[in-house]
Amino acid sequence: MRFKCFLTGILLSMQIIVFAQDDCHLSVSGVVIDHHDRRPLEFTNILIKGTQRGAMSDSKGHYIIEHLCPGTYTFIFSHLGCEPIEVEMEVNRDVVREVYLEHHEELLEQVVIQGLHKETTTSLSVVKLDDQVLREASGKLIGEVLEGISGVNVLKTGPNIIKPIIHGLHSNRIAIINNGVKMEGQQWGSEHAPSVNTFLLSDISVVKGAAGVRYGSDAVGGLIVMKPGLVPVEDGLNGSVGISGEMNGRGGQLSLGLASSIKRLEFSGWAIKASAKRSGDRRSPDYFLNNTGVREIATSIDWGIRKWKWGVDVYFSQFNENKGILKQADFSNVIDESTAGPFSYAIATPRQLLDHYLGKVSGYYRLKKLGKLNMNYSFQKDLRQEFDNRRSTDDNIPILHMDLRTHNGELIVEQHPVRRLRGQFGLQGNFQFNYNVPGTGVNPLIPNYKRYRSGIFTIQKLKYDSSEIEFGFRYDYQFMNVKRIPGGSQIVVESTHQYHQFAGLIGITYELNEWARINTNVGSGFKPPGVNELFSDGLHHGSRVYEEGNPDLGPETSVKWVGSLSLTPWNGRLKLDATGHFNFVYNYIYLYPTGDTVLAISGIFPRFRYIQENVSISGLDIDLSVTLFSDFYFNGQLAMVRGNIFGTGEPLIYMPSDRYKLGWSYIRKDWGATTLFRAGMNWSWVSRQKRFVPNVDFLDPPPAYHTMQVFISTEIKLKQGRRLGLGVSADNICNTRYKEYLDYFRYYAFNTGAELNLHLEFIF
Amino acid sequence: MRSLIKTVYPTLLFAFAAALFLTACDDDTPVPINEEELITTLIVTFTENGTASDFILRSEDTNGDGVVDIASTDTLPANSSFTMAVRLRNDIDNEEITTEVAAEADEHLFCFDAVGLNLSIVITDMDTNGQPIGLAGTATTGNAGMGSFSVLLKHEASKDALTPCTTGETDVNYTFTGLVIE
Repeated sequence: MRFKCFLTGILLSMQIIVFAQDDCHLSVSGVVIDHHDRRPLEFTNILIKGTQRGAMSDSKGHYIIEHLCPGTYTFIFSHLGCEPIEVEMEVNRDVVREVYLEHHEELLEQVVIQGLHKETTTSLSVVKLDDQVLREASGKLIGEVLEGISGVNVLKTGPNIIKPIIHGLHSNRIAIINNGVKMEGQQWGSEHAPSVNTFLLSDISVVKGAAGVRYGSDAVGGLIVMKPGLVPVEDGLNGSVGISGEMNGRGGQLSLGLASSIKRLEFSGWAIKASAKRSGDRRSPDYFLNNTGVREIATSIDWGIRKWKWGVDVYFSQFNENKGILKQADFSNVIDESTAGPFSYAIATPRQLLDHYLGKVSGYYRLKKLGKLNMNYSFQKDLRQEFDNRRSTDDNIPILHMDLRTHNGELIVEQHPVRRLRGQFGLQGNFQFNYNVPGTGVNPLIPNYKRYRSGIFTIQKLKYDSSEIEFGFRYDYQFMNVKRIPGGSQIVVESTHQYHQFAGLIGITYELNEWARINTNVGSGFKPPGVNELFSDGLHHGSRVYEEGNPDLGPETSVKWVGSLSLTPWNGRLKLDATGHFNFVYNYIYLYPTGDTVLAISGIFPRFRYIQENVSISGLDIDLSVTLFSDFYFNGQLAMVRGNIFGTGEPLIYMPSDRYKLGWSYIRKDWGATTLFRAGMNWSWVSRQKRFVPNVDFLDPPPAYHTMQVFISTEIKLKQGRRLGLGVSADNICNTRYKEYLDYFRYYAFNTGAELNLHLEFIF
Repeated sequence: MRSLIKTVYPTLLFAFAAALFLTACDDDTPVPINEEELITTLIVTFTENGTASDFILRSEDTNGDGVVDIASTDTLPANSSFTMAVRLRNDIDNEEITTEVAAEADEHLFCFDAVGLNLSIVITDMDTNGQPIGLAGTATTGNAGMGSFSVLLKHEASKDALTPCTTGETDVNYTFTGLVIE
């Protein structure tokens, strides 16, 4: 048995598994018992994972699930006031089993469970990718894994730098939470991608909505919540060894994970994970994208004690990456078959070198009267260097060298539920220090600064029979001290900035009936101007633009409405999820191409200026899954975003174009020696972005394109609970030549061509 | 166990406070940078064969912020021939960049282009591989007219490629507009 934090309803249509309703006569029965006082637990919900089928224990704690076919099932046992648990059982004949639940307050997180489970619901729209999906995508970047979710796009700077966009917002407007710690890695930069390897995670959730109340101003657009998995408290050593390869780039990744409980220390365990990746130049249909190789090493170590009354966890992770930036990315150059060079694994200038360290100590303690007290402290160090061809010195001296240190402390209380009311309140403190390491011989992009933030928040929920109302409020104080040397002078200028920030949310989840549910949420957010928006100044050779910061920028205030409709009629044979969103941002800050140019000896650079305008960003995401016949599914997806300057209706630059996806998949459990078999095909169509202001961009948006993807994967059951997973997937199988509007490399080269990826892992 | 709990939380608080205290006291005053990659001045000198008169095209970034502040061109006599010399300087740090370019001649290539103007350029200097550099050359003017003249300096270009001027990194890409031949 493994304890997993159960929060899920998986939206990706390929992940939905429905059991065939054959003639099957086996049953699973037993008694559900409270772990704490050993009494039977009545009215416990039991659900067969991945289906709508279940049962409930009676007043004596007795339960029975009938009409089961032979096979292995995961049952989810949940009870109000208990943390739900998953129990895996092999059912080859009638099974009788006692199940123990820990009776305590439920975890409250700002996520929604779609479709399957009625217990913990909140009003934001959430999609979760579980470890099965992550394993199949091993070796891929976080952004690539998230791209398949409707409402999520990616902002790319070539094939190696991929940042998530949620409903049109990205960078400083999306918080990436890794094991409860908001990642701090100069994310204001469009070429600064998240620094974590998917192997270190057990699941990723995307929260599409204003999550500013819980996480502060950096989450006004949404959240990417990444979890490394809880340390095990069961006996035995378990883990995995994996290898994956990609043909485009001739790359590969090795991964190793080990976890175990600690014998002499009850309810404790540790886990170690490590991955190493190496790939060379990627290939577009006609030529190699020279100098796009990557070397990456990521490791994490976790140790913890998890008892009912208290627990402690210590976590440390490290990420080191050396990645090449396309050679010849320059407007006076032409990259084609005649000028591009042969394949190489070498990573030369220009390149990025990143070291990211994250350490966290957390603990919890349950107080009798108040509730569950959570405390955590985290530290992050993000060391970022960029290298370019230097005329005057050695290419190994960086042109950019930034050291970003962030400390965060939190105290959060999850209150004891009182009748219909549940909730949490908390206090957070954050200190960040950005330091430009001297010795580069180049003016820094952003100045040195020290930033202090403290915040207080609460989120409360009122639960009724078929609905739940959620509301929350947050206050933040931010103080910043900036020290910089303006371009063209030698004098240090110091400035201070203070902000008082408020955010609120209100939401409702309403179950119309068993197969229809509505969520609606309105959240306000506040985002102070970032240091790059205030002070970034001058010629950026990297992005080939002249950027003017604006020290007079004020904070942004936004209001976002997200509403979703979830339908699962006919016993789940049809699943439809439609999410609409409307975001109004007052004083939205963005880099605006003025249309002017700046004359420099090194060239003519377009002048971009940070400005504030009132904008609206709205859209619609739809996901559809239809069970055509047993084990065979049809799925479809649609996502649209519309961004405008409020009032003039002028379109906002760099908004995602409309995209559609259609596909089929065949998913079968317990087919011969396999516990899971999946195969499918997808066809994606990305339309041309027609909404743009002419003559302000270097190039007009590229034409529409479509690509096809095929995948097959399986998991073979071995003795003693061990498994062997293997799979093959091919992307862009027709080797389509295309450019993507949200990829900055479109100014220079085509996107990558056909890709073939393989993965193999042994799980024990 | 009790003692473990009792030590964990105070330790957490102490660790947080300590880390905060230690980092908050770090000095973060920036040090003025001597911009090493800066080219502030581009000078192209045409010396007329016979008269030895100099005709100078000059563009300069006077305060080192990267933006050209002054640009000037001399009118070139029509139907004449010249020798051409290109100079690059960093006048803020008083550096003659021309010498650095000459020292790494294999990695540098100048490309010249005259648009709407009867001006043709031939590069006469060579690097150790027998490939052109562009610091020195000859120029010939035709009939009177007015147009633009651009100077491109490529770093690590593929000199033997079909179009070497579309490869490598661009260090200089400046166009003198309104150049007159009379």
